[in-house]
Amino acid sequence: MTTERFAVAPHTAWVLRDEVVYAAPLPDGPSFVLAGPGAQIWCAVAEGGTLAEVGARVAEAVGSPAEALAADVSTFVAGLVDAGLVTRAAVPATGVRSQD
Amino acid sequence: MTDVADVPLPVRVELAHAAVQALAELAGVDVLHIKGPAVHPGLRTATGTGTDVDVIVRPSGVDALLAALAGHGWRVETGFETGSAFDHAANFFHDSWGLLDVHRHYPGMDRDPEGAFERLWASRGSIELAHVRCAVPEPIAQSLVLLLHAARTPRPGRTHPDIAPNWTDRTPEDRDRIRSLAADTGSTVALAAATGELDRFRGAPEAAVWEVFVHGGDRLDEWGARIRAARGPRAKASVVLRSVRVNRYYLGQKLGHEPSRGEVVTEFFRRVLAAGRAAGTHAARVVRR
Repeated sequence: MTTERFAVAPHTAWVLRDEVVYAAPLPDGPSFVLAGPGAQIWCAVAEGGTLAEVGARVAEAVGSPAEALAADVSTFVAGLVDAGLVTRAAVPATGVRSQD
Repeated sequence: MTDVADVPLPVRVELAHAAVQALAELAGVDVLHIKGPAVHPGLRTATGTGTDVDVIVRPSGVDALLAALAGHGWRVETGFETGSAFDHAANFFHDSWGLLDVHRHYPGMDRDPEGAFERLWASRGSIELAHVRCAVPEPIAQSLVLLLHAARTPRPGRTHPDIAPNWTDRTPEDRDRIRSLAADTGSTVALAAATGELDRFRGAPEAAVWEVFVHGGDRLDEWGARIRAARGPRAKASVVLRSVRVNRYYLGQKLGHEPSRGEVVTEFFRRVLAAGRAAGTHAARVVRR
């Protein structure tokens, strides 16, 4: 079985300043400005991990149940992937034993 | 999506350093990031975050870097031979990143640019800017770079703010290491201009240009010094020609539009006449002394 892990793309530059994230695909840009929940989700993605792990970090940061945020987090992370700022990679799922 | 106005200046400069580093890697060119956020925190002045990106490019890689810049949205503002008295830097602008200065050699280290770059590169360090690792001169070399910059940007009546953290407040051992690096990179005279020791080199052709910066002088003094400092008849002739060449960028700024061929010609003759008048005034001043 596989799962998807997310990480900041190798050619993404980003700066966190005054709780706002400025991120840009290199070398051409443009810069994206992520504030509020967007900055929270970015910081969670920057640590790397599955969507569930990202969602859990965001939930902890904002003090809300992960289930309530899951759809919004998923949509936002997909947008970051589409913008080329974040990579999505299929990796073997951990904690799941093969049936073979 | 944003343009440069939406991103705070210090953030944009940091992102721009990262963008230039990425582009240099794509082009396979070595660059050293200098000034602004690339400077070691202990060597910066309070206002030292910078307003643009400055890099020194390995001289053999200049053409490759310029091609890469042109292919990725960087527009030339001023070319190498029209940007400054030292012909050392070209200025670029990018809609996402703002301003960039590419130094093909560093003023003061211009006798052997390739050798000077290699000396700085061999002892380089690195710093993360916008989460991208960028090559920088090691701290002693950063001090030398900042001191040479201070030497050509005098502050009348007061000391340049970069002098204290990079020279006065340095230990005697550090100052010896800076002098040693200056000797290795051919910048001993320029360093002396920064540290108030230029009189030790009085009469040396190389010192003439720096004396204008330190003791003051008009553009004619500066060009005269550059002609004296140039080595050989061809180099001297080249300086003379450049002294009256019209800088299309600055003329365009003055006129408020792209100058026509006629306006460039008119400006050329105005500069030749102005140089003649300045020479006359200069001569009269010298005779009165």
